[in-house]
Amino acid sequence: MELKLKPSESYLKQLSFFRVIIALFCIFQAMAIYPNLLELYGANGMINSEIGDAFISNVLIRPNIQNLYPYLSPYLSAELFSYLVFYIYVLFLLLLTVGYRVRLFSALSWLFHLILINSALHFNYGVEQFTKICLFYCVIMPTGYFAAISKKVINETKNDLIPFISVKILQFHLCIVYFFGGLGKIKGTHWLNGEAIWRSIEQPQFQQFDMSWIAAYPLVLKLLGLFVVFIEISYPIFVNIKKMRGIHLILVIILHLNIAIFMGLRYFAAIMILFNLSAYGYSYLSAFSHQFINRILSVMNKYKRILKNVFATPNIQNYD
Amino acid sequence: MHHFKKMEKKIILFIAFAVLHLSIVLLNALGINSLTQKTLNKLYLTYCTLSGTDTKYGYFSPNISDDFDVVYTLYKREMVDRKFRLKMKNEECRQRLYTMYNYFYRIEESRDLMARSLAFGVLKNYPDCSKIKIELFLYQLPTTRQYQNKAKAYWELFYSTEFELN
Repeated sequence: MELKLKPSESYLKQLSFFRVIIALFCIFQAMAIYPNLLELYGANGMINSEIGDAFISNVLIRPNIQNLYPYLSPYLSAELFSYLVFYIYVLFLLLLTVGYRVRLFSALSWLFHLILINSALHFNYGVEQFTKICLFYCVIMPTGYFAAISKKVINETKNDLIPFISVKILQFHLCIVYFFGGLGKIKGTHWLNGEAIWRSIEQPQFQQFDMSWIAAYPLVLKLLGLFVVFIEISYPIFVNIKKMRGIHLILVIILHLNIAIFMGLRYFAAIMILFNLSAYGYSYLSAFSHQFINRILSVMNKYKRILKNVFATPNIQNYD
Repeated sequence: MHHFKKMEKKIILFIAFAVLHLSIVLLNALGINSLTQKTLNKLYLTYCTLSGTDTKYGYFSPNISDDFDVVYTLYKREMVDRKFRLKMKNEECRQRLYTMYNYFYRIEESRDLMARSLAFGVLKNYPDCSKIKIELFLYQLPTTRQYQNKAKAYWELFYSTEFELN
């Protein structure tokens, strides 16, 4: 049996799309953190980094601002060093976005992201984990073949399995994420009796609007909780059935949009949506963008014809 | 021919990496986050930390945890000078602050150390104050049924400590 593959070019485009949107996401996320950078990630931040060290003491290397600063302390203040690390990180991300020396700058962006997040372990939530995963994938996967200044030449369009395997890694990883996310939820009671939705929209940490009126509709809360569990557990099945993929992706995106709107976890929601679009939604986006561009071109052509007729030089005949 | 052989090797290596990496993702998701052999374990944990595979993806599960807040009271010559909550510049930074409070609440072993770190971090900004009280409050949200029966949410003191500069 022969394994039918799309030409690797389309996978390479998909991976390049992944690189660009992840790098852009990281830039926006960095901008959001910037106003409280020193409190969160500073060499003299809010929480002593040694407390964080106790959490992961059993690793070989853990680069962070506090460990690196002593080497430069004679030349720079702690604040300046923290800002410097941050600015270099953003610079590397910009170079990664435009695709300059992609492998090198994805590795450096990943390294500087590690330095930043290791400097403030207590402040990191799910968004950091997924950013780290995505940047790591940018390092190991061929993400620099399209939308890149330093364009690489594709020389094994049909035989090279690496882009295909890379996309499958992204997809399989997401399947594990959602399946185990859903499985964890059914171990408790909150998601099955609807209290999870109530608590996540009514607790001050997440509350964005006053939604207390929803307590009068426990059945709605219960159905919403079960819907979330269903979406997550069934993700590996439906997203891998071609006919169901589109609908399931839309449902997952709706789920994350709700997390952004009602819980305020905008960046977490954004990276999950982008990860999904890169792994499973690229063909839809690509088809949509082609349709969109074609429609714009046809409208432009139509108006071009009309304008051409209006401004056409009249054929003046000389009757003399 | 030579080039083809080189490519084949590259693909085999990449497939091996993919299988190993996804197995590690799966093992972590299953909660197997350490190995018995010491050196191998250190390598395994380092790889997991660097690649971001060191997670079980159990966000908001099995249940939604309690909500909490931290109130700081500063004293100037034994008199209350000010009482406040830390404010961050935007929603994203605020979420991070609450992630840190989550550790503060959940991990009893490091609670005193974190309180000390927070206390001195805050006192640094108020040099004329010499004493600080840190209080961790839990938010007691009624269930939907209790809420329908007119129960109200309230803050309950969970932990309190004081630090004084000599």
